[in-house]
Amino acid sequence: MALLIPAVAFAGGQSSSTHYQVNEVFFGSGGALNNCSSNYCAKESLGETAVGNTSSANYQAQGGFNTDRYPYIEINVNNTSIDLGVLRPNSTKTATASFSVKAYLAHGYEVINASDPPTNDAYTMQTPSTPTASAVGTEQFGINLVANTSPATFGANPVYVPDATFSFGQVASNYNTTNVYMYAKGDEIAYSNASSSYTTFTISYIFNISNVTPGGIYTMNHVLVATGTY
Amino acid sequence: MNNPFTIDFRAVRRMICVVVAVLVATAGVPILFFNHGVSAVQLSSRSIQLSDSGNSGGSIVSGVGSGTNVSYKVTFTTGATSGETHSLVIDFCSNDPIIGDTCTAPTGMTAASATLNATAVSGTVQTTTDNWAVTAGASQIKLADDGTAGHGMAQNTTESFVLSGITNPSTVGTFYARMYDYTNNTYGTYTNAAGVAADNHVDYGGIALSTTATIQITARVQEQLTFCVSAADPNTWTGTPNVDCSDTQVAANPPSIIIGHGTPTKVIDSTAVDTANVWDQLSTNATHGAVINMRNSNTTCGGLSADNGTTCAIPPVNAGAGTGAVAMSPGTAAFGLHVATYSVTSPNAAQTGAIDPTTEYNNGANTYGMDTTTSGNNVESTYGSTIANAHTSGVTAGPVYEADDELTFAAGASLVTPAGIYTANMNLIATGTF
Repeated sequence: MALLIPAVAFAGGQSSSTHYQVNEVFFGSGGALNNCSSNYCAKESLGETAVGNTSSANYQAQGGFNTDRYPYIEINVNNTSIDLGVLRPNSTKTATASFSVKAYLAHGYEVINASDPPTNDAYTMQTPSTPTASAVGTEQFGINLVANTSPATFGANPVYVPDATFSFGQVASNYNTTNVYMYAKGDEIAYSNASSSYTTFTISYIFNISNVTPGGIYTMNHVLVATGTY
Repeated sequence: MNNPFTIDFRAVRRMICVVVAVLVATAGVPILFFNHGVSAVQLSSRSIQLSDSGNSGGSIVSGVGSGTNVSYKVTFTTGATSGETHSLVIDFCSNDPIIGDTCTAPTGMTAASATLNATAVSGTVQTTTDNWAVTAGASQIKLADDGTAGHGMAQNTTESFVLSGITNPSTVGTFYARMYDYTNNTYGTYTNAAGVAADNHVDYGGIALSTTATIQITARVQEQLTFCVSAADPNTWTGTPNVDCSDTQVAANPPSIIIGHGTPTKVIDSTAVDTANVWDQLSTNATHGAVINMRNSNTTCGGLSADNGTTCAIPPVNAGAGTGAVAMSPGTAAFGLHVATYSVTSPNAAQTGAIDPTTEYNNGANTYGMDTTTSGNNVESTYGSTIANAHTSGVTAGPVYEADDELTFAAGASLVTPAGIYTANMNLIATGTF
């Protein structure tokens, strides 16, 4: 009788001595840690049977030979300067900004508004406290994170990179309905319940003023805080 | 002959198959093991929420977005069987969150001024009651209680507390925190971040954080003030969509009035006090409201003059006193003004606020004033006499929109008032405080 033992991969944890440490060890069918050309490098493995995230209610694991042991979170804001010019009570101004979030080895993340609405010295623009349609002549500052057709065609739904099987970001309630807007400091505006590749979110801003909105320059440093849970 | 032993190949085959099956099943799922003491467990559900994700040292130098004076809300659940722990170390690293790796301090970050909340969001890490205290450095925060049983972090408990006064890294991107707690309140055998794997910490955990650029938004609202005076009642203004100073009735009816009674020529005499009205409207977004002042072209006498202002044979009512409007009586030569807020029958839905008269020009119905005595604020002074103030609501000065007043000018003559044509040019001036 011949006992055949296939070429399996044994995956072990980090091994270390006083002076040395070995990470992410496997014995497999083949691979390379750092294959480089002039402009690109790659880490390769052969013979993987399963890759990607697997999870239960309380645990998760990243399967595959090419895994990273570092949890991380990354948020990139893609446009950082918006100048709306002059606001007038007989029209609505709109603008957009986008940001991307990814998180690895996390139970998820949330993104919150960390700023006050636009202010003119001591005066703060009024904001709807519930999702509300844009109203010309009524002082409003609001946002949502979806595509809209009113008061203009602007904004976009979340974009999943590379696709929705790897990216799981969602827009929070109150900010996920088209054509209605609100703003509250401290509100969660986006989240994921698991590790996620990049999700690109687009913030749609509306600005309306009334006939008695105080004159001056209104500014806002819109800070977005992404927090991962591990 | 005895066989010294027999081997049950079926059993061996089963064992080998099981071993192979286990190896095959686990081949694609490498589990990440960290080299810790046997009893150390991970802090679960751990996070650090920043109050500001801006990087420090950038173009925003204060407030939200500056990355300075930032609060870090630290949350985690201690190990299920860890027992009570009395000290905690948080190391901030730019390279990775792996316990026991070398730790590179994030550039530009300083936690040296970090303070701990007086009262924790949950748990016991607080300066009051449980007497936790902070020892902080540029990229490390140490927290310890007073060693009293019950003041520490209990096992299987959610701790959430806020550290304030931290400056974020000056770089944009991911950085890390490593946390480890200890049974005593002197940080156990902790020496440094790279040596944690070998010390006697009880719980541990790594967290990733990220700074990012701030979206800077700018918009401008122009200061606005629109003021007009007309001899046409605003109820006759018919412009759409708004009944405002752009209405054709305003331009078609300039505020030129003749006070008197009778036909074909109106006259004033000792038998009556005659009146004539004009109306004004004010719209302004001046944050601190606006005032309406009035100047009389007869700057030496403040009343009505028949000799181009040299004398006023019809003097200001009540001798020009600024002590409150008074009634005017037939037979007494006097000139005065009564101001009243005016509500149109069908106001614009956007109509806001009112321009309320001062008591010098409205001290009750049919009372009149023509202040020539209040220092610096009378119809003869450079900037005139204040006749009304804009209020958004009640007595709160503020913006108004399409707020109207009715101005009733009154005059009467005495038996000895010289005959003649008496005139005055009354100039109304609206001034907003933005």
